[in-house]
Amino acid sequence: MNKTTGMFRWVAVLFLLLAGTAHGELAIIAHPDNPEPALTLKQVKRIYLARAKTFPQGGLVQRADQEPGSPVRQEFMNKVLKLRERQLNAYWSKMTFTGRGTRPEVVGKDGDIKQWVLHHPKGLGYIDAGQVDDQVKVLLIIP
Amino acid sequence: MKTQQRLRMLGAALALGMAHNAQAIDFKWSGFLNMVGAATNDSALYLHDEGNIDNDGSFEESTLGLNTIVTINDKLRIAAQIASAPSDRSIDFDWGYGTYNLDDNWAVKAGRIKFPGYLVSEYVRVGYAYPWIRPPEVVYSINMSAPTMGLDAYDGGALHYQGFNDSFDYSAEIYGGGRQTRVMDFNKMYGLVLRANNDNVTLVANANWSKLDNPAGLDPAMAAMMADTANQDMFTASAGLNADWNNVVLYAEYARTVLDFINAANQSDDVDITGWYTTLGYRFGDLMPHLTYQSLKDGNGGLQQTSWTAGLRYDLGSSTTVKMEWQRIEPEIASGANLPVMLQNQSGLFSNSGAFPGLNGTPSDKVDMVSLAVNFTF
Repeated sequence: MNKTTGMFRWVAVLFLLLAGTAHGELAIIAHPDNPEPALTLKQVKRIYLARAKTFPQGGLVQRADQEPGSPVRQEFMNKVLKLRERQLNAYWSKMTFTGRGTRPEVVGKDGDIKQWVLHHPKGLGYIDAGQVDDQVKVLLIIP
Repeated sequence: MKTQQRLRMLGAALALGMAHNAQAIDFKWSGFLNMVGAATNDSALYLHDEGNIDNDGSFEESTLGLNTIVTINDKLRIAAQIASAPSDRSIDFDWGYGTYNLDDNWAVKAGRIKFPGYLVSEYVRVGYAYPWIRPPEVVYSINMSAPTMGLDAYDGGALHYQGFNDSFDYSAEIYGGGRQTRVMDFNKMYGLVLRANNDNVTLVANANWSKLDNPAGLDPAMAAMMADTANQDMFTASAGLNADWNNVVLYAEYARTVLDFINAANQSDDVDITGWYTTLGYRFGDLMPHLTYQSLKDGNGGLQQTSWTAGLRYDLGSSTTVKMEWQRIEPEIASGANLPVMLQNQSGLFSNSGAFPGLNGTPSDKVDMVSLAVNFTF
């Protein structure tokens, strides 16, 4: 009885770990000198969709996007933008061809984004939360 | 000529901006291309000066556009677009304006601004951005017998307020200015547009007041036709809904234009044009079939047109889409006693044979149209 429960517990832990790697937490990261204490999910979404152009405490945001096909990008679209690729393409064609805003810059993968953020004082990026180190500033963790 | 001057001024302003602060300036270039072919089974010309479609077929709706957005600093942004279409036989300065953000909520805009009142009017030439080959013409046509009466953009300014709460982004904009098109002067034009949207729904409502006049240098035949509409007040109100939810795509929009028309015999007889449409589509992955019903009516003169469109949009990759449509149009000829000359003998959105004697403007009761398009963005 006890043995079976214990085994179930291990299977459950293993399952959660696997699920954890497939659907990791996202970290919204910025330059260490960025004075912003934190951002909300809604603020991050508005900034990425170019509806807000500046940080709440001021300064034009430079946005970094992960490359197409990146699983982290997919997570970001599901959890933050809540848009599918096709809707996002249509959204950017509307924003661009009305002069309202442009797509974020495609920078690469987690490591590239971290490097990029360190070189852009007003930069904003998103990476797998497991890849966060003490060089970058985390403005939001998205479970 | 005027357009060239404006482009030159814009270029000078951009160069000045660059010299001033070369490092921070961010230039983004984009473009779009619509390749459109359409044909009807009637010799009457449909969408005169916009597509000129008849039974000989037409590629005149094809359009190439180039666009730039220049972010000068955290307050100031300049954007402009040029576009060419075979029906114009020229390159248009489509729009170009500066936006200055006063704070997070308030902004002012100035320049040539695309008409903001309808769901897709600000990007009406960008085929990639909507399901149809041409946005429903009973609202979007710049024909004189459609609710826009040719107003597609204005030269002027706007005060814009935007905000958001947990469920919606919303904005209000008051705008004013004027616009001279080939056939009409919209003077002392002003309006109000309200918008709200979230992930799935967009709502827009608009009111616009203009004073109509005839532009100088209008050719005499056209001037004669337009004479009785000069110096009249025009009022347009519209409302639109777009929903995109669980693969279901819905558009519904209504626009009504009233003209305080006083005819040559000095009788007051309002022109009252109403256009509305509904589109329902469903996404099966890359494929979206859709169905549209359109209605155009002059409450006074009997100008009328209804149509059904069945269409298919197929997305290829992230920046190309292929579209095909079949449309059945049922026009009726305008027959009111006190109609302005420009609407007499008008049959729906077919060319006016009274005003353009060389053109066949009298279609049969039912006209079928097929259209094919490929839209790119780059």
